[in-house]
Amino acid sequence: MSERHTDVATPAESLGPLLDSIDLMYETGWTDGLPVVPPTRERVKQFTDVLSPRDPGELIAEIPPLGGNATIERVAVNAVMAGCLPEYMPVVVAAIKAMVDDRFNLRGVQCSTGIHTPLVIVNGPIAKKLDINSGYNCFGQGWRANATIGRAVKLVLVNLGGAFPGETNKSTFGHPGSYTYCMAEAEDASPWEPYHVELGYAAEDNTVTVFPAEAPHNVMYHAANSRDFLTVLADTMCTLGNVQMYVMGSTCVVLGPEHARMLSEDRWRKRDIKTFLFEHARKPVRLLRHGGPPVGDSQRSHLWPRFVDADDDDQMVPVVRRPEDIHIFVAGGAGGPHSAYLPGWGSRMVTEKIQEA
Amino acid sequence: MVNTPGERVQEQLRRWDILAANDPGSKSKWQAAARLGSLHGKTGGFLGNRKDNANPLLLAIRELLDKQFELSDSLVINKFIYSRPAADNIVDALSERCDFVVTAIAD
Repeated sequence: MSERHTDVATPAESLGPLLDSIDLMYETGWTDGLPVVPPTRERVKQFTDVLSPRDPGELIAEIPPLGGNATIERVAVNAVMAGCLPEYMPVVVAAIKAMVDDRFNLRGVQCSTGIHTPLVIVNGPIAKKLDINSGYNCFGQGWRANATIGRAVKLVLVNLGGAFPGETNKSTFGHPGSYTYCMAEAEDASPWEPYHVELGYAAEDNTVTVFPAEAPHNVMYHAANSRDFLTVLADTMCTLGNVQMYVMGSTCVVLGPEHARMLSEDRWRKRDIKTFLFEHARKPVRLLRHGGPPVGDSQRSHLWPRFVDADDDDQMVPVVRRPEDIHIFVAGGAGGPHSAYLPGWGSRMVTEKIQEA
Repeated sequence: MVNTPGERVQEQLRRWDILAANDPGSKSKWQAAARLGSLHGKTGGFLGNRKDNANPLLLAIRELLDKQFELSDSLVINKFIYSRPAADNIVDALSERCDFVVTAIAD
């Protein structure tokens, strides 16, 4: 029988307090249902120090609907809980700042009965520096940065915004992205300029883009005809159940590297793709009367583009008001003949420059 | 809602030097308006959300309240769209002219 050293804690014993503190965090009501890292003052300071000399008490935003003050320190607390590394802080802070832009309509995003949840997309060199996945399984599990940056954002929205399910968060279903929803654009795999450069940022700038998105809808296309592929994609975008057909706003297309390369080799530019999708992702007024808000809803005539005559059954209604409301990213693993369509919810996509200390 | 842990949990948090993830101060930002003693003779505001089923219900409620409480006046006004908060000028008009407001939500 081996001798036991009673003055040295066994691994199980030394983990005891940690496990107790994780259980305690459940009792606070501040978790998303998964265990969180206890945000000790010492650990939180490591996170706020990343943004030094900024004051930890600096207000980033008031988070609706409750209006909790998201200071740097409170964002750090939630980032610690999510399992972030300290160096993720600039991305989390920029995402929070972007979401309170009026175009994003965060109050509506937080309280709606819809299924959307904020997606965070990172562009620029920081994506590689932080190892934010943009390739295989980029919407799925496996990368700490994706998992925890997205989760930190969601914890801030609930703990400081008060959007508790069934209370002010009236989402009928929610979706798995409500736990975390974060990826980077695969800039190296893209045949075009990165998304943030398209917006006018420098390639060496780092940006975060936020968008209230449904879960990704897969678009499979195995052949090699660009026009056929875009026709398939357009059809996926304009289903009668897609809320965007009735409320417009920004919408999001994530092209897999294979599809992006095919389109580029056929000399399609991003703006050509947007124009094609704008012209083909359409449904006639006659069919749209079967879906969305109740028949005769006065919303339709003032949310659809002006050129649509809502009284004419044969008029074709596009999924967005303008081609530039279709936002295109390149991401995903190589070799798969897949792209993804992410319907929005009537809000605008918002991009914020990431400020590193 | 602000999730404020009970005293026992708060004591534990202090003991482990764990910081709060919420903003306890946000609770005081939102308080219900003082309740009216009666609706008799008051001016009612009725804020519609432009949803087809919500607005008829809202107008029916207005009629019912008017009949029961003989409202002195009423103001019916629609938001631009259901998903956004009412614009400031709408909120200002309601708060300046009305003693109480009924708001339509959902459909």
